[in-house]
Amino acid sequence: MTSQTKRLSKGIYIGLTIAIVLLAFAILGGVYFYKQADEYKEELHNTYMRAFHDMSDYLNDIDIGLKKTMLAQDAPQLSALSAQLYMQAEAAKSCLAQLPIEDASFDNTSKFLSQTGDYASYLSRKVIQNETVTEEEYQNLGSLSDYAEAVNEEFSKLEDKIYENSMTVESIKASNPFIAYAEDESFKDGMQRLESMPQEYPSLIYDGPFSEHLEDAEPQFLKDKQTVSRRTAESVVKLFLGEERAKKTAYQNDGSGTLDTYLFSGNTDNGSISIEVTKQGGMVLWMLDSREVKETRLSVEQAMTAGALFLSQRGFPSMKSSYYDVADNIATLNYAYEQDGVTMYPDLIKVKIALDNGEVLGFEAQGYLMCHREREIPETVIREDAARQKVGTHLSVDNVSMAYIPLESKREVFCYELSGTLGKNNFLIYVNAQTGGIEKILMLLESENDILTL
Amino acid sequence: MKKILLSAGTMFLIFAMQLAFVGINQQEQAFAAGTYQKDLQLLARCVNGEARGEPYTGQVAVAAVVLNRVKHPSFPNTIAGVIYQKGAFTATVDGQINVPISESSTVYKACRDAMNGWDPTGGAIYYYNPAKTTNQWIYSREVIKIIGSHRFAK
Repeated sequence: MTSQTKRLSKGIYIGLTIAIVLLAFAILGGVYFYKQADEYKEELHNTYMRAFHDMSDYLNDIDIGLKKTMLAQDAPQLSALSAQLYMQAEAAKSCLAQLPIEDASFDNTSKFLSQTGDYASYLSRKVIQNETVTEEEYQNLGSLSDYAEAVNEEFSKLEDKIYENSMTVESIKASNPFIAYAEDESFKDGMQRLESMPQEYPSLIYDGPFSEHLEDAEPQFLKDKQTVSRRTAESVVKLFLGEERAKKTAYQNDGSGTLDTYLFSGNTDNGSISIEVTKQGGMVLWMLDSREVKETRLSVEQAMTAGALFLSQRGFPSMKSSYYDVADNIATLNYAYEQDGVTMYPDLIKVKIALDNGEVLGFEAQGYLMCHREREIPETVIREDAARQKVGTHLSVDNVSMAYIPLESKREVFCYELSGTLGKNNFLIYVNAQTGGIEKILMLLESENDILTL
Repeated sequence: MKKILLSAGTMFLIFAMQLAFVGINQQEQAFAAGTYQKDLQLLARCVNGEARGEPYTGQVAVAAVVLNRVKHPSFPNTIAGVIYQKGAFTATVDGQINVPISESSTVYKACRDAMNGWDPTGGAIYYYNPAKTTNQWIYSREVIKIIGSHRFAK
């Protein structure tokens, strides 16, 4: 052999070794990652299965709980049962959200769960206040119970199929962010049957956050006002922003939703301005200017004064500032309408003030437009010292004033507002001026930059 | 022999890089304190993934949709519940949800405005980009606002 062929065979030998080593590593890596992926898949599967079985258990509990609630007549029993129902409905909802099922395909079930918990606690509140459950409310409970039974049955059929291994939780897949389809037809059918259940429960109108009456509230402040044209809306924008800033915005499109509107927006030198004007009444619904504010020259108090002045110039007099939040050299201030010394918290307007030059960078008036009217303030039934007694001795009260507050159901109640401290924290307690009941307890979140309520 | 060692070394490097790649994805930075701040950070990450290229108001609007869902009976009751709901937001699929957002960024400010009560959508619980979605179901929802390239629906 010549030295040349020797070198060549040596080359082949080295090449082959490299190839084998390469292959070995590739296979090793492949096996490693495959095993790892398999473990993750199994873990995920177990999470889904747990949510599925938990959901099934909770649905069963809710079905039974609703049936029991229909029989519970006295307050302690009803409130104990409804506390349980509320907890189970919340837990079931949380399980539902964890399942690999798209939101849209389970809208009704989720809504049913929200309203079941809500409705149960509404009935419990009612009987605790010595009111009786009406025949209609009893019927509603019956419909909820029927629906719960049907959902429960359908769900346990799905569970059986999973136990028989004729389908898996993962067989439902997302085709895109908004809708689910199932590769497994039987699962898909089951899901669809669940959603198009024949037993429709009635629209529930009651006093709770998920009540159906909230969806079509009438704007109190706008309801008797004329519809304005786009041209009028343009002049509203000009008056609101001033000629200079208004010039930078242009009409974009019509909008609907809570209120029908005209949207105007445009770019400025350092950001953009958007402003929406209601069709009915031609009022500014909200405005946002995204200008960056680089420094703070004004105090929060100065900003509050500037905001109040701006509001009165734009036709919102007697607005009293309450809570605020400061971030990025911008103060966001809450203002509520004040009538005869009573603070009307539902009539809310929020204003953003730039702390460099006092310019208004944001405005939000949905609360005011939806709720504002001159109210007939009734005589108080409960005296102030009785209200003070209501809150007990734990809160050291610093101040008492009068206010209308919105409950979660948007119903308004006339209250004494008692502010005081417990330990390190400041609280607000609202005592109903008519019934003496405690309507709300808020804790103030205070820091260097803000006072907010929780 | 040298070459074999070299190639083995190279392969090992590739293997190590594969491992490192998995490792990087798992790394996550902690941010801010307080429930309010934490909710804001999560919301900002979601909005960043969903509406980075949108105008400021469009970002506030997407954040408002998340918050409207929290209040809506058909959706989970927490911000995390809504954002991580299976298939609800692409930000949780493509990993954008794990990208930390600076508190001085525009997205963060937009989310703060939404948390403070600004809702440019007028109560929308869905939105989509008509140029990007082929989904028929979403077209059946009533469109209530158009902001930037997104349509907002009830």
